[in-house]
Amino acid sequence: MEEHLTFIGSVTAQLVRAVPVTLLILAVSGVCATALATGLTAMSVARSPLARLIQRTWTFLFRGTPLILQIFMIYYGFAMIPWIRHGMLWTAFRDPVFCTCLAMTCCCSAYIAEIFRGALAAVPRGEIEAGRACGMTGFMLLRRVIAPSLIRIALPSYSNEIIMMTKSTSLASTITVLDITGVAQQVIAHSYRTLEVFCAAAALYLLINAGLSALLAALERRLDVDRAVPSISVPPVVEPLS
Amino acid sequence: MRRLWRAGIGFGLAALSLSAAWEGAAGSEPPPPRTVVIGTEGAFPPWNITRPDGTLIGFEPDLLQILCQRASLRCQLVAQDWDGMIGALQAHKIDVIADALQITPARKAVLAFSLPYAITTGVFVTQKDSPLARMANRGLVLDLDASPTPERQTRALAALREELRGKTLGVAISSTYDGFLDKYLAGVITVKSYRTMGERDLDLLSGRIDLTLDDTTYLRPLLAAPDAQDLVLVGPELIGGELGAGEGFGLRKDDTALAERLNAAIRSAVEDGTVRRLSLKWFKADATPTLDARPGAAAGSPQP
Repeated sequence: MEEHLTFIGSVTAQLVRAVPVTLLILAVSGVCATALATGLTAMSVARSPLARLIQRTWTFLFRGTPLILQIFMIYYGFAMIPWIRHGMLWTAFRDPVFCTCLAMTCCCSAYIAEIFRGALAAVPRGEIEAGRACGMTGFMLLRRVIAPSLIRIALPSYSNEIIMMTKSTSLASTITVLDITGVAQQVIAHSYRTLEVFCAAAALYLLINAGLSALLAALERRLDVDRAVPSISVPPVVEPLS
Repeated sequence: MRRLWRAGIGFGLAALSLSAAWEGAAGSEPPPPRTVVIGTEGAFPPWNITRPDGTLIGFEPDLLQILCQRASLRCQLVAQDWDGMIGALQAHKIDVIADALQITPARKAVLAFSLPYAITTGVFVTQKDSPLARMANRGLVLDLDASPTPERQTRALAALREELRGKTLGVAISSTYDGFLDKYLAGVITVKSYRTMGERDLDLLSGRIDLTLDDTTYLRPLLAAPDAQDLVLVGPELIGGELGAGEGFGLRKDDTALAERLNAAIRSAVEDGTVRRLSLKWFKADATPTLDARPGAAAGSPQP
């Protein structure tokens, strides 16, 4: 029993050193995918049929194929193309972390764009009309009326997607990245002990996701206007003394 | 009723084991047939290859067909990924690992091994346009078990360290070479682990890794393939020590009955030239191991 505990302890210490790699992949692909999804959402409601077609094709391609295939295609597939392998781009494509981030950005942006598109459709028409009635147009309407509503509606599904992304980062281990899963497999390869190592790795993913859930739940509560205590106190209307 | 049922099973089992004991005691009778599940990768030519129709061919399937017959085993060959194979053996999902498994000291800590049924060297392969293509001591066989260590070998290993400094070497995960790399090249090179040899070869071709170290029987035919025109064999060949004393079947430590049966079959196949015939067929070279003269000797002990 004590031997088990010391082994789990040393394994956990090794796995903890790989947490920054997992977080780096999550942060880079999370930020890039969200930015790309915002653009795709705008394209989905654009007047230009070409923009709408690009958005639909993007979603069709990246939501319809497994992420692991996209990772393999970018990592092994692109390395077969001579102008990538001998060109400037090779510095980036040579790196497995870059390839993972690129694949996850493409794949997850398709999902997040669909979340945003649904939320956009759910923004109450009345709010937009009220904004127009107040004389708001274009960017101001987007910033003051549409975006706040959209974010509130999209946040629960978006949180879900971020948590899915955390777990998807483990696919990086299939292309030699030493993230939490990659290091776990290395440890197993040397110790031939699977249960303890996988449990320790699972515990780390649980911790990361618990932290992320708490953060996103806090954000959700903060943005919940119905339950929020008004931060601006309205001065009571005092009848002027006559 | 249930009790009766149990008693019935108990009696049946007792009768079975009695008859087994009786058959065993008969001596000249062949041992009772036993069904054995053998795990192989099916992706390590020419040791084991999966054909498009799903059947397994190669040196090991050929050899096993003969060994199983001689050991009166009903063998079932299943293909699975290497990275989970030792776990599958320990979980009783398979009974034997047949995947060009080198009998290394590190593996002996967790596995039992049969006698070696082949002995092959580890070789380095790099790209033709790499600076490593001119590595010294090409073809020199370094026997890491040699004692005392010849001076030429010490110099060759020192040269190897200098030539490989700062390079990236790719190996299949939990490969035979982990122990060697840890002992002789730790801190000198970066090691990248791949789930399969095929993925590692792709990265060698694309230049993400500078070189690889793998078995000669795997790499030499690879170099002959049209896709691998840019690759070249370099540096010394390695054998013994951390690389082990040949390829043996991996077994569970408590399965000594199976080890004995397989060892007897391997010994007969080595002695009557079956191993030589099959290795010439598949490797185009004789990979017959030298077995200790006394029967039942511990597998993997340093060869004289």
